[in-house]
Amino acid sequence: MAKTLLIYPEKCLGCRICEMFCSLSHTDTCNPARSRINIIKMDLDVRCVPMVCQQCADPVCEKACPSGAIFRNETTGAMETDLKRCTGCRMCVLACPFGGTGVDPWEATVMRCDLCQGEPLCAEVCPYGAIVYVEADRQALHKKRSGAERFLTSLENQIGKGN
Amino acid sequence: MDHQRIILKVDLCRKTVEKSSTAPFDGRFIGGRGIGSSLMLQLLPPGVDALGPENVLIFSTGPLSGTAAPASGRVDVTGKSPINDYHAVSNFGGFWGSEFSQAGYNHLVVQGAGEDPVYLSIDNDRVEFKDARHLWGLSTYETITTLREELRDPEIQVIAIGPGGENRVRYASINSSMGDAAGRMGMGAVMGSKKLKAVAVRGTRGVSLHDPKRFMEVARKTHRFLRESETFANFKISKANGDPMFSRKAEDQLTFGNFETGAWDKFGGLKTEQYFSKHKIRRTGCFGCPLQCMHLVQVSGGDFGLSRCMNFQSFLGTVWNDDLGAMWEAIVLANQYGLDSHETGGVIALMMELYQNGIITAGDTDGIPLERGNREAILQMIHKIARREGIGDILAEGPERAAQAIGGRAPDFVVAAKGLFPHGYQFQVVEGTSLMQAVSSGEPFQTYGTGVERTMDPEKPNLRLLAQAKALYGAEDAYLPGNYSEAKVRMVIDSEHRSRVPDLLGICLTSIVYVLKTVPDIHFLYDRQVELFNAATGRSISRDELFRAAERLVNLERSIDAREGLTRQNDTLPRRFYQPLDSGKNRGKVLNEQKMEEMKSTYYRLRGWDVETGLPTPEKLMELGLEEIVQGKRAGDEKPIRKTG
Repeated sequence: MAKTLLIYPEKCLGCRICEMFCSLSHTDTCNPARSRINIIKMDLDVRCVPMVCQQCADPVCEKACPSGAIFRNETTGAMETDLKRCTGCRMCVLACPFGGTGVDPWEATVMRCDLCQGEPLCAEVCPYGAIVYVEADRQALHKKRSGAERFLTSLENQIGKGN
Repeated sequence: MDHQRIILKVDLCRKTVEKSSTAPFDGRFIGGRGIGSSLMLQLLPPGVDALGPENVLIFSTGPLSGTAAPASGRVDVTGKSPINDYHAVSNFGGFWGSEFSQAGYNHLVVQGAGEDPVYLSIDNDRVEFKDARHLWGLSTYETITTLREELRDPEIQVIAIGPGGENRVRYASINSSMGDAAGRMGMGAVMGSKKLKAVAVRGTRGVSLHDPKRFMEVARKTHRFLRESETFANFKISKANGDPMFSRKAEDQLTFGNFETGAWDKFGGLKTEQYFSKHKIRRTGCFGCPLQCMHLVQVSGGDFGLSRCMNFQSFLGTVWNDDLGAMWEAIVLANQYGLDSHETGGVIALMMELYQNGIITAGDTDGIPLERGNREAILQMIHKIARREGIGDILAEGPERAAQAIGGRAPDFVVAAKGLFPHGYQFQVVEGTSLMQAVSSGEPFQTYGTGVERTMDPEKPNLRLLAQAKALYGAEDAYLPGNYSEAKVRMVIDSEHRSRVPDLLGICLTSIVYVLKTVPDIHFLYDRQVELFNAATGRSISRDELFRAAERLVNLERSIDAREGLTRQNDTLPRRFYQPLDSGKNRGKVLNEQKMEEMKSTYYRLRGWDVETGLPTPEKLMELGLEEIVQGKRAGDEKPIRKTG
């Protein structure tokens, strides 16, 4: 069973360490504009969401690609681009509902998370567990456990207030 | 691709932009604060008005800024301080520094002053002066939000001054979009005097590295080390982020009011943990940092802001306030107006002591009685200071000038080290911390060694650290309070270097010095910095060379201040530190002035400075390769300006 990147926006503190390691490992430079993962911040940076390709089960990028350059890596489950066939038309960029595919500003090629060939650095370096790499069939329970933790904490806070 | 770093020089008077390489400075000064201070030496004529157009305002990131190196988001800000005329040591974090580095720059030098308010917009290569008349008067947060909308890019990082800086409050801050500020030493007032409201920056060029593979390997290792550190675990579980205010032991280290006493009966009853678990949104921190040492707090849907430990103390114990709601309101106001919380709290504390002693009455302060802990007094003073209204116009000048304006016995009550309200330690019991304060030109970041000294319990000493003191400085005394030993002086000198190394590189010093205390190998994090620096730049310097550059920086900054008239006579401590603590665990303890003077002599001697003047000797400067300073002096083109008082 392939593994998948699971994002917990509520755990993200917005430090951007993931962007640095992503761009460094893929492009040899430190540049958020070339990172496959980006932290999107809103409301004076209070709310942060790590945004990265979700490796959809039924990927729109693959369907949108007129030259059949996008394919699934069966080992990792990542949607990859065959740059030899890619014409750079950017249909995949337009089609993705999450901004999961971007364009590298230096090389003008499309870029998308390749799960670091099965060892995603972003999940390794995230200090707060906002990005985790889990077996796809454990995904739902993983999220439920995180929800349960929050539920308990808030319950404890409520009780705490009464004292 | 090679690691290139650019100095961006803008002149607000002539509206010119100039770019040059850091290359001529790299060898001796490494980067960051090292190059920032060299630029200051080169560009600042001695004796000018800190709030005049001749002053320079320099923002420096370093060779590791905006990279995968941990905590690479800090910015050093320097210029001549309007509070004491010495070189300023001020630093802020957040995400501006990394964005600026990713736009391709390491230093921003602002010279001259505009007629009308402007802001600077930096978008990679494009640097523009833009009209800021519509922003003048806005709070720091409003300015940031407005600029992000106006420039139509939510990713833009902004630093801005608020009304405090516009009105040249001598301790105004420069605030970043994430809320962290360069608070100390009035850099916001310098920015205001230049009519520069904000600097917006956006960078997509990225930071190139000489050996990216090696860099990544070391960065990964260093990140893992920090994630597994005790400090990381403490920050993670603590509701208030390992904050000294919240440790029950803290009371033995802190003073209250205007350094009036070592104990405060309300301290133990402060329900800070409950307050923060109720109102805290989450932890926050700077670019690339695993530690995330700050709080984002929002009270009742309105007062939103960010804070760290120092601000808590400034608006609680310093002003005798036990109302946490008032504390938070005060912090938010200081953030919005762009004021240094610490100096603001200090000025209010001084006024409260004057009121308490009958030196002033409510009549002197626009009808507001400056009673200890009075909520209205605290909040109204902040409004008045930032707007320079009524008594605020006097208080905006800082503690020394304000007391002189009030006159009578008021100046006797000022507690200031080189014009600044010191950090609220019980200096009476920590000789090393006191020495570091005395020889500093402003706020010394009391790091590693002096931090150990302050937390060391002589009755139950940490034996591992005592062994470290012996190995590093020759005697256990270095870390133990209650002595004026040479080992302690060596510890202070080493601590000064330990705190400057991260400043040379663009790394947060908290991310190193806070962690050091809990790890067995004191060199580990510094060795990683050396490896990161070498992999980034292609150089191959050693740890010793990096520390040598830190020593060079100390000498360089001392020489800059010497041009402004600084000598040994200015290396004083507030008189109150030589009076015994009246209460608390350390009741009766006091610093011995004569021994402190002898300790200063030892310090100058070990630094290779002249013991009489307390200044670097030409021989020392030559040894460090600072020929230009020696030649400058010989050429006689610098007239030292003697300071009064």
